[in-house]
Amino acid sequence: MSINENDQLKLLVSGDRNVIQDLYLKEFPKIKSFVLNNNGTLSDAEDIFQKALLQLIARYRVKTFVVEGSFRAYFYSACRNLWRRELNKQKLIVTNDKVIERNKATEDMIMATLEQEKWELFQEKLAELSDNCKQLLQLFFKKVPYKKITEELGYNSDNVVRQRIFNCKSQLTKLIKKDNRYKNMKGL
Amino acid sequence: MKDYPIEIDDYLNGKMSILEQQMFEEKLRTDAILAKEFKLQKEMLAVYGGKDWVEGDKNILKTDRAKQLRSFFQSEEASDLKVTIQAVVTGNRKNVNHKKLWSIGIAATVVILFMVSLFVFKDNSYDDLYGTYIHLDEIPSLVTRGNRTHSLLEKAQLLFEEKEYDRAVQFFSEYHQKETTINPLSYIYNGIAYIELGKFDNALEQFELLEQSKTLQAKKANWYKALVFLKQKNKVALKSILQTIISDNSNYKYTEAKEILEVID
Repeated sequence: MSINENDQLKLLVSGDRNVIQDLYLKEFPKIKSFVLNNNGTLSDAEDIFQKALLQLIARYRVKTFVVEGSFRAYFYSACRNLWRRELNKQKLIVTNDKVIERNKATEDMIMATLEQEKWELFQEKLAELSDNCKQLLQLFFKKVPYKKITEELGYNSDNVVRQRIFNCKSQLTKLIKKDNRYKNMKGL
Repeated sequence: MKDYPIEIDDYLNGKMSILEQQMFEEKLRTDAILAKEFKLQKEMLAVYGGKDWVEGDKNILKTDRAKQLRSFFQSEEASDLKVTIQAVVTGNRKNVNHKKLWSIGIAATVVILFMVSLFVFKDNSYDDLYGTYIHLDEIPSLVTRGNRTHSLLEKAQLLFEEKEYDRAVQFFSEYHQKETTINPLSYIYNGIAYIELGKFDNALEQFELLEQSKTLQAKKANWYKALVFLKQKNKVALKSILQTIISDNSNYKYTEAKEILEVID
């Protein structure tokens, strides 16, 4: 993260209107098109922008952190995740709907923030693996069949691929479980 | 190295036979450690697959971190921030509206001139408009990958696509009666099927249910109700619902509603 961006983050956190306006102008068009392309409306996109920003500030306020890489890319990925989460929440409805209370909104913001932190932890751990493991796992998580992976990467058999993926995923699982942040995330 | 049972991968990857799946699911119910591992692997699949989202365990709200976040979200500082962010968003929305009004104005004039020059609005023009605006391809499919439990829904959609509306409606009704969780899109499909059958009250009832579903799809209810009135040639009701849609430019099909209003008046 450049010094400039670091300053920007600080100003954002302080609620500087000009910096928020700047972020809006630069990032909102992308967020809008992502939301509109994924079953949402303009007001959904606005809602996501507001929530993501508030979430980011809350995290910074509770514990100062540094964003690795580009801040704007980071913010965009947080917005995408929030919308994905929203879609997942509203995919199905329960016919005997419970009444949603007002204070549930805060609870939801907290859950969204913590889920985003977990998401980032997972990404960080994946980045620690060898390039070969990363490549195999990326294909696996995209649900590419073993057979196709075998052909594309020139392995001897499906079974070799299956074992190799299993080993990589075991390493990744271990890395995640070993991290203290993950232990705390489990809640109890 | 072995940190979790490899069967989990086979299950998640759809490599198991039906029998193996059933046995695995039974094991999940009785083996708490396996269930925990399964949850983590599923979570990884969601995070790295980049499509789904797994909601966290509510127990996490009891952690210190959650408590700190809560006190921030409930603080005066947070509510001030909300106001500032909201102000930026609304300020920008107003700017966009000004530009938009101009272009809508021009587009509307063109449409009006075009319509006036071609014909005076007739009864059968409602059917043409309905045909122009129905856009069945915009409705997401009900059939999702790897979802074996909703065969009723699959059959209903298939019949719908084959324009067998009478039978489609039967399957949708059965689905609505039997299931406890309802895919809100089914109301849209069922409603359109009723429109095609000329059963407008039933169609409206479906879109009413859609509106009450409090899901993302609920915002589309007014638009589909408008389509019912359009097909029904009910000008008074059509106008009134279109007015509701154009009252806020973030409403679903705002531009289309505006276009139709210009044309029918």
